[in-house]
Amino acid sequence: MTAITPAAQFDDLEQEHEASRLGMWTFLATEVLFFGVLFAAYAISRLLYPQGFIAASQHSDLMLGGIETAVLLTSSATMAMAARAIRHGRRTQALQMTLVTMALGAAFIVMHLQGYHHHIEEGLFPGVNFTYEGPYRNQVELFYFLYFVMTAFHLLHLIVGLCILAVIAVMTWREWFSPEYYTPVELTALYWDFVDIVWIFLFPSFYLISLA
Amino acid sequence: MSTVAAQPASYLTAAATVRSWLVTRDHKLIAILFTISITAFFFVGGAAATVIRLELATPAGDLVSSETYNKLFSMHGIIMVWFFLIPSIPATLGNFLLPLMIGARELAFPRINLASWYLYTAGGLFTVATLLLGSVDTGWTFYTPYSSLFTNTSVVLALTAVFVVGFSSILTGLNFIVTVHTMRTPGMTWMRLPLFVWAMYATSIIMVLATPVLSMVLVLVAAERLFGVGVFDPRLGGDPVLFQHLFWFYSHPAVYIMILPAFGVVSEIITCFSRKRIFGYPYMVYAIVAFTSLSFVVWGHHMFVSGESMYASIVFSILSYLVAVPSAIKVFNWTATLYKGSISFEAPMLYALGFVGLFLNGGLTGLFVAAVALDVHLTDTYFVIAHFHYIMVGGSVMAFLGGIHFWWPKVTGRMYSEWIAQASAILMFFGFNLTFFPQYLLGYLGMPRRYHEYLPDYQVLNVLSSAGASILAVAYLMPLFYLTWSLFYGRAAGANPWRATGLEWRSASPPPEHNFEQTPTVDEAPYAYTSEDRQAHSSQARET
Amino acid sequence: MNTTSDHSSIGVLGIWITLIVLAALSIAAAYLPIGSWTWIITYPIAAMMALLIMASYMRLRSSTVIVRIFAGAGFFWLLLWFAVTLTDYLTRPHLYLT
Repeated sequence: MTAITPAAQFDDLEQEHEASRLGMWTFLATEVLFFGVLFAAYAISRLLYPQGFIAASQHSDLMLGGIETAVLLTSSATMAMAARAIRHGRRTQALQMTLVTMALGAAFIVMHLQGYHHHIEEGLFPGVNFTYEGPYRNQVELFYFLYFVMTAFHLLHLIVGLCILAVIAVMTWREWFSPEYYTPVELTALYWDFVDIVWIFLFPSFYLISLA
Repeated sequence: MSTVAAQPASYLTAAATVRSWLVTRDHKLIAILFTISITAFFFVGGAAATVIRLELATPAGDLVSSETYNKLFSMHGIIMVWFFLIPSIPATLGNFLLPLMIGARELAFPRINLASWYLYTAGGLFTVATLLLGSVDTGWTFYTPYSSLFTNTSVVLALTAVFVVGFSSILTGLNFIVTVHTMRTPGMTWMRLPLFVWAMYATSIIMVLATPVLSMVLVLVAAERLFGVGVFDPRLGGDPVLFQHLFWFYSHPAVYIMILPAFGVVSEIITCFSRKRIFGYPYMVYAIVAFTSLSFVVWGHHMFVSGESMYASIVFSILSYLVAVPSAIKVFNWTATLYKGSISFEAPMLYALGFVGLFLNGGLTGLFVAAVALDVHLTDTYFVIAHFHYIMVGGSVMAFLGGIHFWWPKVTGRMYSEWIAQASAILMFFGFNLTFFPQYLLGYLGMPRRYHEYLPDYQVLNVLSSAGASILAVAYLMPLFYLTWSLFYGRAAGANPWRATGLEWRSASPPPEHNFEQTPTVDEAPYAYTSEDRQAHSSQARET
Repeated sequence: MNTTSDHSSIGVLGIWITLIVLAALSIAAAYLPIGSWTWIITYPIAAMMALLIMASYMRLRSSTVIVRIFAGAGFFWLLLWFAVTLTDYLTRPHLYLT
């Protein structure tokens, strides 16, 4: 079933497409500000406590973080390929690319949860189970508070993205999309890329402070 | 004279069952849902204010304990800010009128609009839960470290309420922005938009860009409370002032969310009831844009005594003074619009004129508190309370009521009783001034805010204020009665009872489900009132 | 539906390679002995990666001005908050000591 008539409030498909795209970008702008608060808190804290943050980041798993970064960057590429496939009417390839994107997203989640588990075992979970002893104890706890809160929100957005991708996969399989109409895919790709961009800034924040 | 007999099909006839309301995609029905919700919360917040003013009639803290008093002003603030003022004009008049004014059938995202109301309701339920479970005593401002470390009240519940209702705000803003960009009817260029639409657009930009900041900072406070660690705790190296920077980055623009829509309403009313084009339309638009932009860079003026550096304070003070420029442009232009107009004093116009005077007053006193040196004396006193109530109540609430009256015929198809509405407006103006003007004096004389007891020297002014509040309460209750009465017994309004310009008046009253029988086109500037209009209006007034 | 500037598969791959290389550069930069000042390199690299994704995968390069304004608005406003707040933190008489 291909939906080729616009919703009742729109005059034509082009208007609907334009409105949908602006709507998604507006939503992404709100998300930038939403995450921005956390980055701001991070920035002020790092400005005040550079030594503490360096000490804290020594416990970050660079290898894991690096692989996670590569995984997400690849998932954005596969998502772009999925959207491209729909535009060219290649339903099977689109479905495959969507599923690969989902798999990469799921891989990220698994890896990151493993990272959490590791940190909790090391006694680095702020407030509840924090056993770090050292000259910068409070700042290290602050670092990990920000780490858990920020990456948890990111993870939440990723999980939501996975759910949306699942819906997109089903819709692709059921032939809802065509070169003339694929707006939901485009919007999903925008959202997915945004989630990737958040990680692009999280990665240097928590894994690349100073490895010297 | 009842006209129940022959009602033509309208958006209301499609709303016969409760279920049809709860799953509606019609922006007009959603607007009414919001109106009912925010009115209910207005009176809850008003009840808190009533107890506050009763307590403050005597110097001793004898009516309620200090803990209870703290909860009263906190809940009054939270409810009035987030559950009344912020949604008020945008979610009610904006939702109803925006598509009509641009000649559209509907908003861009009708289901998101309904979601916005459900989110509001969910936030409202959390607020009711907070009220029932002991309320909060942090003030509506939730300052750390008191809110994050020391108070034992239901902070997380209250934070959840505000977090949820924040998304209601964001979705409304998102909807409006996209609608104005993509769904204007042919001929409706940006510079032909009614100023109400510009005001809604500007308000939406603030809603969309500022509210997410509030949401997240509230999450951080909740996290501090729940996990015992965070960025605002000085014992752990955090900075409580960082909370204030983040909180006020939203909350200052938020007060502009509360006033900008009022500007829009006033422009529509003043032009109609002086039968004259708005003076300086482009400058009114630039003023709205300037006002919106500046709103984001002045937040530090709430923090002059919080430990903010002197240099930052100077910067914020200068920027705050700049806000006076677009505000003044608007007030001058409204005045110039009135000049040589054919003025009549129906209730909407009384509210609009009241707005201009009271907003001017509140705005001028804003200059007092924007000056760092003066603010050191005036901050946290009743002067500040008077200042913002002049703007939010004398300004926004009066404009809201003016708009309700102005567009009542369009929404309901009925006229309200004019003389009682005029009496109500005048009573409100009088009651308002009696309530809040003494508070300027109290503040200047040093009475602190948020205290339930005070020195006996302040009693006379406090009694005047409380007396005024009782009059204000009557004036707020009156519209409930005569507007409801008009729903059943008001005379039929006709499509354009005010003979106003604007696309919304081209459709029937009440409008059909999809707003227009035929898509309207626009080929002239807004407010196309002519001198013939003015002459006809004057001679009509002379005859009556 | 803007298919005029549709990226080829090579294009998508090329961008992916660029992103990976930039990420690697960022990691390398973290090994420089400049303490916490690594941010001067790592964040601009992150910004470049973000811009690359926005221009290509998110198709801003072939979008109208309005869409680009919407896309940039959030970042601009965030920077604005940050810049103005810094005027407070950088001009306080003393900052907290570690």
